[in-house]
Amino acid sequence: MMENDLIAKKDLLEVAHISYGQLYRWKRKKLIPDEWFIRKSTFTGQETFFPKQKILDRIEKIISLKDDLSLDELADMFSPNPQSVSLTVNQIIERHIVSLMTVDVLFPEEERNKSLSFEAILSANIVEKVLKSGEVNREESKQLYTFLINNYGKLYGQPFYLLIFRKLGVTSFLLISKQENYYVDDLTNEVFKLDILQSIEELKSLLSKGA
Amino acid sequence: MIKTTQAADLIISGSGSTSGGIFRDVKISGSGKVSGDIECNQFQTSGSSRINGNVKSENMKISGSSKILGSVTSDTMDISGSTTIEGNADVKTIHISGFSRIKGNMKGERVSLSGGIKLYGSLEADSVQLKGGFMIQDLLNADEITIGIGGDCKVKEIGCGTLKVTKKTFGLDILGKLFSKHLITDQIEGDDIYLEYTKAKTVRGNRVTIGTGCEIDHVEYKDHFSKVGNAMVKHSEKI
Repeated sequence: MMENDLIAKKDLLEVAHISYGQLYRWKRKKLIPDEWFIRKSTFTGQETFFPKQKILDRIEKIISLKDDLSLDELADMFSPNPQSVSLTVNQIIERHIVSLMTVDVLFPEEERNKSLSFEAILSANIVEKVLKSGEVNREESKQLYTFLINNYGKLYGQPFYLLIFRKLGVTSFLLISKQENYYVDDLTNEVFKLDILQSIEELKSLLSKGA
Repeated sequence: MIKTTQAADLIISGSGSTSGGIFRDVKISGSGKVSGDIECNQFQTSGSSRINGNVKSENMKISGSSKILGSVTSDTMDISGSTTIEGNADVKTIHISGFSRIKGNMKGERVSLSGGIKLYGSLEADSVQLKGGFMIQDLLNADEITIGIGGDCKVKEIGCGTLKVTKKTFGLDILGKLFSKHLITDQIEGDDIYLEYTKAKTVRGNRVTIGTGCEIDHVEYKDHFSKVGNAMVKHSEKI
C-alpha cells in the first residue's frame, strides 16, 4: 500500500527541493502535522521518516500556494478544524464526500446550495455508509441524520460507536461510548456497527485533501 | 480584548488571595494567591505569587518568584527572577532573564532567554536568542537562532534556518579549557550553521562551519563545509 511507504528526511529534501529551514518552519506553523514525523533508529542513529505520498502531496500544495497565501492562512486551510468547515451540498458531492444517492434522500432540491457545517457533513457521510450497508431504508436514514446532528455535540472527540438494532421490523439507533457494555434481548439483532471517531478522522482527511 | 474594558482591576498588595476571573489590570505585589484562571490586559506580579490556573493576558510582567500552575497565553511576557510555569507558554514576544522553569512547551515569535532556563518541552519561535546556560529537553525549532554560551547549554535537537553558536573566551586558553562550557546536543539540522564549543552527534546542513572547541561525530553538508581552529570532526560527508 502506498500509505505505508516512508521517505527519509534527507531524501525528501532532495526530491522536493526544499531546505531544512523550510521544513522546520512548516512544521512549526503546523503546515505539516507532527504525526507525520516518524522517528526510527537506523545504523547512523535516529532518523526521521515521513509517509511518502502524503508529505509529497502536502509540500507540492504548500509550494504552489505559498506566494498567494501567508503561512498562517495555509495552516488554517490544512487544519481540518471542524468549526471552520463549511461546504454546500453540491460541493460535498463534487468532492466525493457524500454521493448523489444519499443527497437525494437527505436534502430536497432547493437546499442544495445551502452550506453545511462539519456536523452536518459528518452525519451525511455516516448516513451514506449506513445506506450502502443496506440495513436501513430511506425513511430511517432521514431519522438517523437528524439523530446524529442532534447528538453530535455530546460526543465529539470521544470514542463512540453507532449501533443499529432491529427488532421485529422496528429499527432503533444507539450511540454508545466504546468502553460501555450493552446487552440486548434475543429478538433484537445488531445489524450495523460504526466507529464514530474513525469516521471523523476519515472525513477530516477527505476534507484536507480537497483543500 | 473588548470584554475586559468593562472589567475591574485586581490589586493585591501584602498577602491576599482571590479567585480568578476577568479583569482589566492585575497587579500582585507581596504574596498573592489566585485560585482559578485569569484573563486580563496587563498582568504584573512582583514578590511571590501563585496562580492556580491559566493566565491569558496582553502584557505580562513577572518579577520575584512566581508560580503559575496552568498555561500562559499573551502578546508579551517579561520575566525576571525565578518563575515556574507548569503548563505551556504561548506568547508572541518572550523575554526571560533569571532562573525559570517551564514544564510544558514554549511557542512564540521572538524569544530571548538569558540566565538559567529549564524547559521541559520544546521551544518553537521565529527568532530565538539564548544567552548563558539553558536546558531544553525537546526540540528547539526557529528560523534564526543565536546562542551565546555562558554556562551549561543542553538541548535535545535543533532544527532551524540559521544557527550561530558563539562563546566569548577570556584571556588564557588554559583557563578556558578548565572551565569549559559547551553546547551539548544530539542533532542539529539547518540551512546555515556556524558552531563554536559544541558537542553534537550529528550536524546536517547546507552550509556548515565547525569552529573552535567543537566535537562533532558526523557532519552531512550540501554546499559548503569548513573546519576552523581546533575543531574535531570524526566524519564528514557531502550529500
